[in-house]
Amino acid sequence: MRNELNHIEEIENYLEGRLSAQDKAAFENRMRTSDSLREEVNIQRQIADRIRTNAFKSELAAFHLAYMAVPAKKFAWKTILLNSLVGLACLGSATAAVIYVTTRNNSTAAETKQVAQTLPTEKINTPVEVVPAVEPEKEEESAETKIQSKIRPSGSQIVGPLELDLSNLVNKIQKIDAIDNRYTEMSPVFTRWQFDAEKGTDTIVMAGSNSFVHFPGGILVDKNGNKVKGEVEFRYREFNDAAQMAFSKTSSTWNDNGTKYDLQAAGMFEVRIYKGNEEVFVQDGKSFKIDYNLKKDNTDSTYFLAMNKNQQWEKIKKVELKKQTSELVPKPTKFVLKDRKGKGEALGKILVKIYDAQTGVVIDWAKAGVAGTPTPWYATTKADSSYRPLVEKPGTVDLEIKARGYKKMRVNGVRVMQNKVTIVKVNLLSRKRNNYVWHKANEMYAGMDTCKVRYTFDGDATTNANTLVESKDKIAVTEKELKKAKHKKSKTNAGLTTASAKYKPTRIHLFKTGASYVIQDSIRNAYGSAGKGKKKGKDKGYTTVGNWTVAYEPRKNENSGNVKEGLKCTSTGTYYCAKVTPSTELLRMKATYLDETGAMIQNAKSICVIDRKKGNAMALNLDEVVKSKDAKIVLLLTSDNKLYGMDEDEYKKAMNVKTGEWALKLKRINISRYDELNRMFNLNPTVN
Amino acid sequence: MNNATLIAQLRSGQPNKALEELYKGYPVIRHFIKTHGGDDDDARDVFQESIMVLYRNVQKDDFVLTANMTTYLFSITKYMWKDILKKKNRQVNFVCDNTAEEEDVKNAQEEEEKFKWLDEILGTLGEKCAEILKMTYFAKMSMDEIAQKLGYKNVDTAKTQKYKCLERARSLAAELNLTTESNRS
Repeated sequence: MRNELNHIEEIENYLEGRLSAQDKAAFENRMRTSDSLREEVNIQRQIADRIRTNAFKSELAAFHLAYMAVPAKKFAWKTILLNSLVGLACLGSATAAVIYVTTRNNSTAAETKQVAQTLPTEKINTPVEVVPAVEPEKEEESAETKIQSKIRPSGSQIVGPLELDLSNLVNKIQKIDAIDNRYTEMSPVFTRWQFDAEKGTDTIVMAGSNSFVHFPGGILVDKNGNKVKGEVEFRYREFNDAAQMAFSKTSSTWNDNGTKYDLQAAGMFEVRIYKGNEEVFVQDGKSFKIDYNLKKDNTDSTYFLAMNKNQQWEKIKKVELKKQTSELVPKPTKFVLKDRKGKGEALGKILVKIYDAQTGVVIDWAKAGVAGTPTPWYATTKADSSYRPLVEKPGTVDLEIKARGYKKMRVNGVRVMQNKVTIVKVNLLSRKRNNYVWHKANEMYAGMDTCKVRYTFDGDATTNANTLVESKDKIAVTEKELKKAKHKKSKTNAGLTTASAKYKPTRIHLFKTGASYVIQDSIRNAYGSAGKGKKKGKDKGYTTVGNWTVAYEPRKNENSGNVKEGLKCTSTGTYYCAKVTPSTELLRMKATYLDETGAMIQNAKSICVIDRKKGNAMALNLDEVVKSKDAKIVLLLTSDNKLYGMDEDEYKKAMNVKTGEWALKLKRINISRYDELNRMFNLNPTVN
Repeated sequence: MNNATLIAQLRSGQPNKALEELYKGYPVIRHFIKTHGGDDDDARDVFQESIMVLYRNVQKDDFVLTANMTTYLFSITKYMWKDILKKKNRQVNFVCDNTAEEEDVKNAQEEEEKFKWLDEILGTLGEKCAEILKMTYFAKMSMDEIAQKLGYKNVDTAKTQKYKCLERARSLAAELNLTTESNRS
């Protein structure tokens, strides 16, 4: 390693307490005499601390989601009553025993003392603290969670003298609970949305998935065929990776008039609607539509199938996918940055809503701020030099952008014109020694790894040029110019230090959702590092690495494949997008599943075979596995929740068997969270 | 689970068991918040932030906890909620009785404010760097394990990659730190 890296390692060893006493003393000696070393140590410590804190935040948020997803035990006064009765019974028995012992035989004091010692007097005398029956909100009650609900510990709800007796049991239960949680994550949680059944809803943005649902009013009926009125709850979930699809307990074969096809998953979703606790249905002959974000960018013919009442797939239509998504979205339009004299066009008002990327729940910024989350939008005006969130009120906020340059902080407004509707994207730009920092606009919620921001313009642009961004710059007005845009220095003007910074997004697309325009983005690597004379030529010292990825734009290695618009759904239930292959084309072999010791794996419940390269996932019958020349991952789940896996290399080796019984040796996989499995095997379908 | 075990687990980079233990107190805290002017969202936010306060304290070598962990957590929550109510000019009709914990909350909040600028930098490092640094500092994995998990050729490659990431973070931090200081001056 380079000297510099060795130096960093040495600091790390010091911070992590890995230096010997002698080395540590020497290091501290150096620190005493060197300000720069002290500073370096300090920065490195802060970075490590921050990484730890952020990682823990993520863990905490994920834990919370998992915790809330598990339905609480239906705790009621009955439970308290029952516990109390049992407690009283114990107390009664104990008291009776004492009375019996003391009255039967007016024995010695020592004897009485001995008997008394055998009773949990201290516990009995402890006041019973009745904790209110509070429980987490209920989430979806899947088969797995139903099982969990039976074993979920009631924790603090266990009261009084029984606490001691039950604690061991609670601990055991907790262990089971913890083990099972990771596998319930294979069953994704529903995103929920309420709307009026008679009015329907124009667009539901499925946060975290890029899918959209368009639901007309008046198409829902109850189980008796009566029209449903009032508020209903729309529940939607997507199966995001190969294992989730494969372990979803749905068949991966399709019988089309006697011809069997194997389904190779390109995406799967489920829709349910409830009125109170009763499931309601789509009226015969009616339908709703979904713009579905396929998990695999499959340019081959893909079939759209629905699960019928007999749990069999039925073809709805063949879907021809375009290779590019450009036809689905309006083309990028011009960008204008306000000039410092206020010439140009107004930014208007925007309505800002932030959605939790995982649950789809609207988050309000103020609360996120209270939770200690960095809110990256700041007002920086001449009069107000303090760092503060631009949005301070809870709930949905009508936000008028008022941004002026302050010293070396400056706000750039990027305005997108589209059919007279204006959408504003504002980034905060700070400048020091020719360095630029584009502040992120999408990381503001506690503990979430990602959080998408949705800016919905209210469609009523108001011109108020005086309140807008001050800048001497002119940002390129066409996409072409944007691509060519480079940084240039400019002069200090009227007390404002400004510099010309050309914003260089790689892609900016808008797409129409009903009456509004939505832009979803994530800004990454948005840091311009420069200076120090590293670069030469006219761009000396200036680089801006801006990678602004927008919805519908597939990103490498991420789940953002093609969106197929307007898939017609005539019922609630499970839908599947898949490439189909005649079953006869695949060689199936009878398989025996062995663990690492060569012993037969007991209680095998379900198996899936994943072809990462093709992004295919197949749930298979346990007695036959596809034999293929392509490398595949095999995962096997037992009914007692043990997970086994075989990686691609092992699969290739095992494939050499020509005929007969095929013994697959699988390794036991121990994971503490489901995403570890995903990381281990990279299960997300590849975007070609 | 005793305090020492909980603290060890929180420090270990595998906090789920500790969180399970701490979340036993969530229903009570949620009830408290809801009966004192808050709603479910408030309960979630305040509880999570309280755990963050606890976590930050636990990272300190000299952190000693005399009370039961859940009692301590409840106490922190009360202070945080009191603080929020005060900021909203709302009436506070409960008593917080341990100033030591109030101090903890304030310190943790100040720390959060002080260092959140580092998120800018960490966000720019790229996924691979984020992953490798997280595995090092949070999950406390060995370089062997990291190399294996992230598919590096060998430990040395992984190690070099890690320190390159750290080097980049350090240099960006140094620059941004100067920028921020200059802007504030």
